Amino acid sequence: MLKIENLHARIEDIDEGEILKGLDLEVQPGEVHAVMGPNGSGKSTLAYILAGRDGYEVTEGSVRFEGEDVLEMEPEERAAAGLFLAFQYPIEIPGVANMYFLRTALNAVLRARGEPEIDAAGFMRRLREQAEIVGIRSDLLKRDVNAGFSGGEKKRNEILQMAVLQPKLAVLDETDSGLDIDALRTVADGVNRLRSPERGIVVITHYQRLLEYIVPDHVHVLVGGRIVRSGDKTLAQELESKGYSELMAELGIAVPADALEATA
Amino acid sequence: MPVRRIEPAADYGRLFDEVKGRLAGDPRRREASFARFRELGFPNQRAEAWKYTSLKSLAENAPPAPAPVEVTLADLEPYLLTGDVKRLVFVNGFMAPELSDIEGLPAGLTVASFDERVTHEGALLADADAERSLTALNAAMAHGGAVVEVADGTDVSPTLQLVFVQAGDAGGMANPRNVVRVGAGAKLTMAETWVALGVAGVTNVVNDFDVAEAGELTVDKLQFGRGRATLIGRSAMRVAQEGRLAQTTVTAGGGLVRNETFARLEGPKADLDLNGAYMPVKGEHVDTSIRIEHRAPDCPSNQFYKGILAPGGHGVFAGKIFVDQVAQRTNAYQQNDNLMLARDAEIDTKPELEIYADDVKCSHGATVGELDDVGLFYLRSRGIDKETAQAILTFAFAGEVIERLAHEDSRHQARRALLARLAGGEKLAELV
Ligand SMILES: Nc1ncnc2c1ncn2[C@@H]1O[C@H](COP(=O)(O)OP(=O)(O)O)[C@@H](O)[C@H]1O
Ligand SMILES: [Mg+2]
Repeated sequence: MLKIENLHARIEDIDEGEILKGLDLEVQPGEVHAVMGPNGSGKSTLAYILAGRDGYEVTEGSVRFEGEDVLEMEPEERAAAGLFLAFQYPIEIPGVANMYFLRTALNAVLRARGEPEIDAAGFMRRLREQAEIVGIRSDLLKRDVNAGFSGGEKKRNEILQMAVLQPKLAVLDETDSGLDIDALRTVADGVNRLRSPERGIVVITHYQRLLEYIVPDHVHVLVGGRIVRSGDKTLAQELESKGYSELMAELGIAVPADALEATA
Repeated sequence: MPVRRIEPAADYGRLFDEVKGRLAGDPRRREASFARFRELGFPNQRAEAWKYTSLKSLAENAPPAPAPVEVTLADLEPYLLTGDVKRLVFVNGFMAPELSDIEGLPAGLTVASFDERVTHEGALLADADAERSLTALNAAMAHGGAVVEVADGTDVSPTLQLVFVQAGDAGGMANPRNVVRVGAGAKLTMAETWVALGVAGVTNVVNDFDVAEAGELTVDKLQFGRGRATLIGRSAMRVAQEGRLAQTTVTAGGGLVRNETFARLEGPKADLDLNGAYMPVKGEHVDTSIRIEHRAPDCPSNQFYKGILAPGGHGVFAGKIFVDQVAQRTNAYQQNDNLMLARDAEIDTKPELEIYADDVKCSHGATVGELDDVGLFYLRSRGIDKETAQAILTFAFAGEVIERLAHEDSRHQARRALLARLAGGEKLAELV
């Protein structure tokens, strides 16, 4: 359903060279992929490019989702097509109630797909149910989007949005970072409930920890803007025990020291 | 010395001659005020307080005399407050009894038309601001407006709404004057609503608000203009010891709107709270000009204004805090935040402090920014189209001010009016 080929990308307006340097990734319906990599390896860049954030220039390669050229689509068109990104750093939107935001988003997506909008009561049922599952207190639904939420609450709120929007392909960017073990379980549980034969999930993470709860079908190691190795779930464990530097050494890949600094 | 005045057109004499026959009160006072006005002339843009706002067109073209125009309750319905409300309506300065409702006022609350009261009480025309030509013009032609008094210790339950309607496209000039006196320990909530049903016309209003010791006055000031309709208003406010005055202004329309506030905190612990939101669209000019004087110790004052500048709109904010040397432990706060929706919008914002006491806390800040890109992307990444996302964020920006309006209907009206001015606002109708 998702096919990324030879993706090269750089930041606009900055003379820093490419961040992604020929990335390939293919996700089929029903699969869970983990993308692991040290800080600064380009994980969030990949996530933002998939979601359509401004400020990145794709210099080479392509991204197709169900055959469509994703890079030509507006962010809202991508959402309507069924793409979802759980942000590493969710955004606070003061003055906009979480509940209103969720319903507006859901109805926008339904409308774009030519499906009937959901009425207020139906929405409330769906929302309450999902909020319970991801462990979001009901007062957080009435508050402004992410405003004054703790780190964990923000992450749960991302999963809640995903659960409400029911995307075809979800990309979770370090949804595990900053979560205690209970929150991690709840979040993983929320993700696992969404696993289905029609849905693809890409879990971006720094540590192997989350993958004990969301067991991936495929694991990819992203270093220096490229996927340097792919494998099954055992790769995550191997990576955890060896660390990125040893793995890279084995692969005979020269990696600048600063690309690995945060992984020891 | 530079010339700071514009000679009023000769037609102002004609205007005065035309209206003076129906003015209440002492004709000699009226003549004297008119002479004073001619002498002062209109301020030009060399006067610091008028640097960004031009009265040239008003000075050179005297508006016609106002005439009563038939207006129905249905015309006004979107602007009226409901529930426990007493109401006085003026159309082009003429009181409209059939649109008003001041039957059965509670004990301790007196509401009279200005014209009725000025007949016996000439002093109501006295000029507090002897140097201000627009006040002199108002004093010369004052017609319409209310005199409101709340007796000591009275907690008035109905909200009092004063509605000033500019109707018809003939473009007449109304000069209403309001006097509100809240007695010691008394409490009043009121709304001052300006509605332009026609696309032209000028309202030049002068307000005098007085809050006695431990009294409390809350004002929702709602301004719904259109076309070239012009509103120039001056509110003088005095707050005595431990008194409190809170006003929230929302300006949604008007070719030229100028809101002047001149407030004095006269006794210890007097409290003043001024909030405002303005959203000029193409061809509109909204100018907020505030001077707060701290004349006693331990007084808090607060100014919180937000501007949304739509394409082609022009906003001006000038707020000055003056702290007298006796006003120790003053706590004065001023914030003016502006959101530019287009490059061809304009905002001139100028906060100013003048402090003569040494133990004070004063802060002021002004910001001019655009919609947050990251916030926009976040909303769009959830499927919300760009225009709606922009409207949501813009609307949210004004929300903090709108929430400070006292009456629920005021908040609804303000939201509806702002959404009506926003591209994509119709999609947010449920937020009203
Ligand atoms: N907006 C930006 N401006 C400048 N450099 C950036 C920006 N975004 C990312 N980078 C750089 O690109 C590299 C990859 O960043 P990122 O994709 O956030 O990595 P990861 O999510 O894997 O930690 C880093 O070196 C980072 O400093
Ligand atoms: Mg990242």
